[in-house]
Amino acid sequence: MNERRVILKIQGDLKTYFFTFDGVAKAVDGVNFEIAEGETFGLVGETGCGKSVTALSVLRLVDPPGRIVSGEILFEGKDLLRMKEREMQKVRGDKIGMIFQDPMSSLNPVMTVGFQLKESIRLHKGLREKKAERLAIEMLEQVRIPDPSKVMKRFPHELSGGMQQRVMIGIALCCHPKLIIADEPTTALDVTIQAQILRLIRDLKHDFGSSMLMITHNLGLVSKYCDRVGVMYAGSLVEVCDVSEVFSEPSHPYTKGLIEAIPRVNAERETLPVIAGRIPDIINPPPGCKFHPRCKEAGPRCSEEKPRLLEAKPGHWVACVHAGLH
Amino acid sequence: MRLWAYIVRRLVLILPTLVGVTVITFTISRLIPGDPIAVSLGPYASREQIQLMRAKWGLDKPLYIQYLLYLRNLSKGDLGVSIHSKRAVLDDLKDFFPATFELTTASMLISILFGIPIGIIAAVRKNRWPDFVTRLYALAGVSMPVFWLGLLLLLVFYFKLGWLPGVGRLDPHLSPPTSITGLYLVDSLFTANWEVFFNALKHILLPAFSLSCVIMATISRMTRASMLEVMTENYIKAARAKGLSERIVIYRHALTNSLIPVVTIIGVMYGVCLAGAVLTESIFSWPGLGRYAVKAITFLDLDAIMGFTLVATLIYVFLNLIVDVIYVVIDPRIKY
Amino acid sequence: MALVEDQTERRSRDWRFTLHLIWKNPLMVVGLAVVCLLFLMAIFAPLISPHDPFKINPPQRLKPPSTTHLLGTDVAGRDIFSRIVYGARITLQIGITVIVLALLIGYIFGIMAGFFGGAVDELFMRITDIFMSFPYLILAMGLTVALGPSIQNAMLAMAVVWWPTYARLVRGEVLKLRGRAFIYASKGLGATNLFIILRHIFPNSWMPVVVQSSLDFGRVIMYAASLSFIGLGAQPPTPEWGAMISDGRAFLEQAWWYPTFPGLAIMVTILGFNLMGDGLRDILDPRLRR
Repeated sequence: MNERRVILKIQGDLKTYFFTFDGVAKAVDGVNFEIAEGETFGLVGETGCGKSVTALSVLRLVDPPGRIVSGEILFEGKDLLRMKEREMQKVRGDKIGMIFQDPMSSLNPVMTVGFQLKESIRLHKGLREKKAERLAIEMLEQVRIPDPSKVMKRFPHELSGGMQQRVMIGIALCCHPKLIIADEPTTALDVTIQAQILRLIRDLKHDFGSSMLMITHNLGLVSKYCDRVGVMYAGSLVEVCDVSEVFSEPSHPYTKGLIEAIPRVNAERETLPVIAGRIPDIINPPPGCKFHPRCKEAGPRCSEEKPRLLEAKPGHWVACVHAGLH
Repeated sequence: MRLWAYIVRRLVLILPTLVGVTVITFTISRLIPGDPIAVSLGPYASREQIQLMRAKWGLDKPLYIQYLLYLRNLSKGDLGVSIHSKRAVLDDLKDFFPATFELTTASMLISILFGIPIGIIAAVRKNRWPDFVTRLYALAGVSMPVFWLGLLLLLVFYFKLGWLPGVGRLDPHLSPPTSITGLYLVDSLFTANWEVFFNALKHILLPAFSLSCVIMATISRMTRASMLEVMTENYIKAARAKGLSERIVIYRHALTNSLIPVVTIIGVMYGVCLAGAVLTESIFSWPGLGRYAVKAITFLDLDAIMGFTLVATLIYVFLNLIVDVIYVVIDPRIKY
Repeated sequence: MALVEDQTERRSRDWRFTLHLIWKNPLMVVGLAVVCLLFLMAIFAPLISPHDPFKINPPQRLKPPSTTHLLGTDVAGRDIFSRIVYGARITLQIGITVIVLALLIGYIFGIMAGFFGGAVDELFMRITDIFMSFPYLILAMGLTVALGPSIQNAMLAMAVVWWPTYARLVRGEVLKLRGRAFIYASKGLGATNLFIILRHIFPNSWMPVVVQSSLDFGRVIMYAASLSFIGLGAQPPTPEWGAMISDGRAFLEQAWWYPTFPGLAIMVTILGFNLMGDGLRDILDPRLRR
């Protein structure tokens, strides 16, 4: 195992809570993981498991009534959560670039694409108009947009979904960030475009030598584009391991359930196995392990103690008392 | 080029509406009980005058012919004669128009220049004291009768404090500046007539402010609501993710989007302004269309009132058209 | 069994949330209080007012506020406080009359346009377009002058100028309903148009319209006062607040209380209705609930 530099290290139990009328929604309830240089870390889980909120927490973009309650987010050694807002603004868009889920609503509708791209470039590189214009066009070429100088003058609604996402990628990556956060970058796109966009992101990431935190609910994407995987359930990480192991040796019952539920072309089964029950209420989660009400392997200890993420095998972490740890 | 085509198209579409407006003003003027001609000419009209008017307005003919005659007279600019001033209504209106235009424009400017920033601050500092104060003011402003506010301001600033004048556009000993636009402030600026300029400024302050209070309240409310909605949009979050300072996010990204709906109500606000001008002008003895209309009402000067109604409505309709065009231009999502 | 529990739980949560919204919106409670006060004043006017609002008392003219005359006297020596109390009746009368009238006319036309569509709708849109091209007060002014200045004519004029707004609103609601499945089902079962309108369309469409009209109450009062101020609405000696301001205007310098207090009454009343209407809208707006 290479000892690569750690780019992002979330430790100290990151907790992001939403203080609503109905109670405190514990969207991120004690998350710790790290991403090494050049690595793509996939954060997987169902809708509402807290993966997007985790990504937003890294950039401190969580809106009220949400608040980061505890934890440390070390980026290149410095704790992002302790930084002043001014310093954080220098990190955003420059050292960490974020690609959002729905490009149509993530681009300002009354500004041209070129303006929004140049805005980032001018902000972080301090360039003047002509140079920024040139760099912007180059960036559009890099994201494989045809006829970039024409596209610069277009408004977001005049472009197709795939083009919009390319622009979004261009904006996120124009300063060659060390960390790319991609929040479900292809969920809002046509299936045919999805592969193109993902390949583009992967290529650019490789060219720029960046690391990536990819948020997705699609295990298929994870298998193709990620190096390591973190499986989230109801605000907590239940399993973290290499991508190959998550498919070959899933240890947490939830992960196992997810893997089993993937339809396979060569399967003999006729019915798709599903995980019984529903995701828990994050305001009043079940006591002990949050998954235990739905877990086939649940035992008496599961409703009493909350399992911590422990290293069952080197590089393979599981949060389950039945995962054969020593 | 396409913009001109759009404007022409809109103008053409407005025509039926304008025709409808004349139908209504015509109907109203025929509604009065009794002999309209006698009323219109007043109690001292002679037989011949009455006969002449009858012929001109075709009162012995069927209603639709009367309407056509009415339209014909309108197209010639003949809006009738005022009982009170004995002049053609059109001439009266032309005389009094610049004063009203100056007042309403000043009010709208004040409302926009102050209302929008107030709305922004209220939205950005939501639920903290600037927001609270703004919302209170907005509520109070919308609830205050504009004529009552005018009287209060007059009471305080003129009668009790004596800081500002309360009557007319200029002190009686000063003569108006050379007439280029008819707007005292503009004309005196152009001719570098500083004494008149500052005097006119002092005179316009109270009426313009009292007229603008209500409008400013509405504009600030609208701006606040629009900003709040825009601030929840995804592209604001994405703008922050680029590392832009909060100030740029608010003033460049949020404001440009939130002002678009605000522009649309400016047209409606101008209508409120016109109506308010009627009341405000009479309080401050501002020699404009509004005061003319109120005098006309006192004398039941029907031609004058209908003339005023028609002209005021025309102005309102065209202003809304201009606002529509501006809206179409500033929102790139709209095709024309 | 789980479903029944869910529903009752949700309903109690809805109630709690409504109360929470009301609690968070103390201004609305204030508005409600003001409106109730107004109604009480109007109903119990003879009991509340210390003097006869119409009784002329020349020796007492233009007296400042005192213990006998709480808000002072007007040019004819009448007690302003009593006149304001009686004025509440008139204000309410005007507001209710105008809105009910406008609602009635607007509803009929709105339903016809929305339900039957086609040429009827086109005509309706043109007509309402024309009415809505006028600045509101100015058309009301012109109409009242033509009909003759009186409070009844003012109310009529206001209703005539107001109905297009409601008609459009109703039409919008009807259009939304028309495409819904249960209307088609009803038609399929052989219901006549009239039946559908009365039984289905009307009950489902009145809510937003009523909410809108409660928001409008303040505006109607404002316009009524404005018309009276220029001499078009209430005629002397009716103690309508706008007319009182108009009367008091000439005495602004020496008897400031004369035009000030009626104006204050107007402002507080409109404020009350606006606060109540705003609060009502906040509570009923489904978006704001989550």
